[in-house]
Amino acid sequence: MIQIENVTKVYSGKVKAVDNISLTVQDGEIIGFIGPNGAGKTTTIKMMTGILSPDTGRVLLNGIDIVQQPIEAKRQFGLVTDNPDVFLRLKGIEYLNFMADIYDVSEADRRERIQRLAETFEMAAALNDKILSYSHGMRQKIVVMGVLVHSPNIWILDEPLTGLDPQSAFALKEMMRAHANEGKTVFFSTHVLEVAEKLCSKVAIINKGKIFYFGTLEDLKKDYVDMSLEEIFLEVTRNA
Amino acid sequence: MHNFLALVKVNLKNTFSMTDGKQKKSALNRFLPVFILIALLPSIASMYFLTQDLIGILTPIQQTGIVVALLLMGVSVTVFFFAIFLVPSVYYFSKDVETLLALPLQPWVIVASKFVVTVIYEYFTLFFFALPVLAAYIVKVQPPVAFYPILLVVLVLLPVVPLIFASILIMLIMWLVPFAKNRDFFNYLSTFFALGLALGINFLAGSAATVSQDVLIDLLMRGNNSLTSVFNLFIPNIRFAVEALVKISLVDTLIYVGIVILASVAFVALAQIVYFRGAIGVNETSANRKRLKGKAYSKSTVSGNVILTYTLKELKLLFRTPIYLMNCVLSAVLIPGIMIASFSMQLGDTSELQQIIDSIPWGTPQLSLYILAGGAAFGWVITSLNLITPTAISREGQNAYFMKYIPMSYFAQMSAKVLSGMAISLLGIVCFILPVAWFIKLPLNLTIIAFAASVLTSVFMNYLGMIVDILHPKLVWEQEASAVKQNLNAVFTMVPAAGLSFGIFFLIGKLPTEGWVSLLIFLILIGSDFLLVYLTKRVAEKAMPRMLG
Repeated sequence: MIQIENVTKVYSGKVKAVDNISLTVQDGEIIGFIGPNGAGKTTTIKMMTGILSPDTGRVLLNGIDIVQQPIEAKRQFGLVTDNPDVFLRLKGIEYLNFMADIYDVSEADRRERIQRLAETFEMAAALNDKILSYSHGMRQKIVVMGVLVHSPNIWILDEPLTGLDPQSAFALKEMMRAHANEGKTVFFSTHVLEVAEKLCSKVAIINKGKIFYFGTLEDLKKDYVDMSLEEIFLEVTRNA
Repeated sequence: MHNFLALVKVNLKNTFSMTDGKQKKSALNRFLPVFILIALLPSIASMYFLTQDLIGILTPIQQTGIVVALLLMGVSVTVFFFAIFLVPSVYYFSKDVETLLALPLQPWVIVASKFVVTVIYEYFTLFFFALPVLAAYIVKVQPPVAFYPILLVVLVLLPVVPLIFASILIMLIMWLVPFAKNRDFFNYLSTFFALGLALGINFLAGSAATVSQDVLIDLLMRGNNSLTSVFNLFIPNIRFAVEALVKISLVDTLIYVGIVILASVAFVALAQIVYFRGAIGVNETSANRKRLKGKAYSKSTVSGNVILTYTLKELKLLFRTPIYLMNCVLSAVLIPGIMIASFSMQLGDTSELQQIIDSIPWGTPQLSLYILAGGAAFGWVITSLNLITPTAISREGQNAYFMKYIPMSYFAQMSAKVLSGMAISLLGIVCFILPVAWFIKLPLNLTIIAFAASVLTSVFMNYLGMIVDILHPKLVWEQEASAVKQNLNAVFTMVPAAGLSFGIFFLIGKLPTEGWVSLLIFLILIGSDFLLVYLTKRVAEKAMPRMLG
């Protein structure tokens, strides 16, 4: 479960990137975090994961405060950031093994998971090469694998489908569904409204640092009859 | 021409305003230039006084021109040396090259605009070398007024020819050598080329001091600055610059400028022909795409202690990134190696030396104190040279946020980074202390004292570097080289390292030579290590959450 309570973040004392937002994500839910560029999505994700500290409010991950008990809270989630260019001079397998060590994954588990993920994402032949030699999509895949190798309870994904080929995007979406079906939590930001429509149990629409809608898409559509999701999104953000 | 000027403008902005976009300047940043000036003051002052002394010796034999020749040649060789590293990364491997190649720009426009930025970079080198030497020359020789405009022309154009040489060399290699387009391979190649060059210059300097002594004396006897003709072998226009400055000759000034113009035209013409052939198809690294199976897979997925895993990750990145390998690893190991090699080369006949070594009274308490101080000073200095911990966070660049979301305490991560620094420091210590101890027949107990002292001070310096980088990380950079070479954090450890090294010798000179003094010094060293570990923990806990915020 993720609880975001009255969280605000102000940059340089002037720019309110996130303005007193609150939302609760229950176990078993997939939440799509939608908003235009610069709306505050990445800042929110950074506060959820301990990269940034909120100026006010708090974030609880499975009931653990990310500021008060950072290490325990960080064990609850896996994060896929919007930049897959990490540790480029490590080999793919070294990166995955490094992540497995950081999250204390047993040898048997890591071997089984890496093998399975490598087949799913068609990365088996690339694991022994440096990440530097990977294409953007392959780097995205290795970062996703680095999260899945420690099987976290909460998945937090910032634009996870960017750069993925159709097969891998499909596989990741299926995994997100399966993860939620196991009673765990998926929180991901996206610009692709169709993905949100097909995948999410709820969406949160953010603009100019404020949450304008949080609920199911069905409920949202009831308020905007005869409008496509794209039109609804434009309408909601225009009125922000 | 319009494109060229536009590109120069963009390149200059991009290169010299690498900030993170924050408006607020920290107190540290505001006082940084003052601090750097203070840090460099001893070097600048010693260069000034050394030049004054040299001119004092050369004036009676009318050879003051040697100072000018040495300065111009020194700057030219230094510019060439640095350009070997700078040119590939600026011309071929910088992130903007792919964008520029797709624009409708002539090859010469791209190269010439990058050349201008590189020349400006080289002015910093020139400034550091030239200012104290020229100040001393002007004060002592008091040249006529006409000297100054010629000096201005000479200095402005000085880096151009050596930079053109380096640029042409690199452009030809990129075009003709098949492996050169692999960035990693090229960086390793240029690293070893530069090391070879450094060793070669060292060797030549050593042999020149002995072999051509007669020639030098002959030239000195002839007077009237005849010795300056020795220095015209490498860069052809230097001789005219020297003549222009020493004899205040307009003709030589014009020839000097003419050579620079000719070289520039030839360079631009060559760039037009070969640049695209080298720049297209540049890649970062090679790949096998070979599936891991059986034992190899099991071996790659063995679990390990978190801190050791993190340390290993740091070491892998240090060894696999050519710029880091050169600046952080090889420097720490090779500097002691070069010191020992040139020391033993210059010794020549060792029989006399053996007698001196045999007569050293190792048993005296005073000597053990000095051995302790020597070991301590070496630990400080060698660790401050490897730049590992003062750049440990800076090297992460924009990926530093990784450190903030993994379930590992900041102190544990800093400890792993310090361990990687310690591993390289230890390598440097072992590479130096063991051969020296063997050579001077240092008794085992004193070797252990020197070793222990250097390990303790190296721990201190590694943690100090870590604190500096936590407080002042350089996270915004385009090239890995910027994270280490253009990172002023190194100054914050090198200056205290030098101060402490002088300080301990000064202290020992003042203290009584009794056994308890050694013990006291060891206790102080251990105590200061613990203090630094504690401070690192506190600083990490306070400053890391605010980083990238």
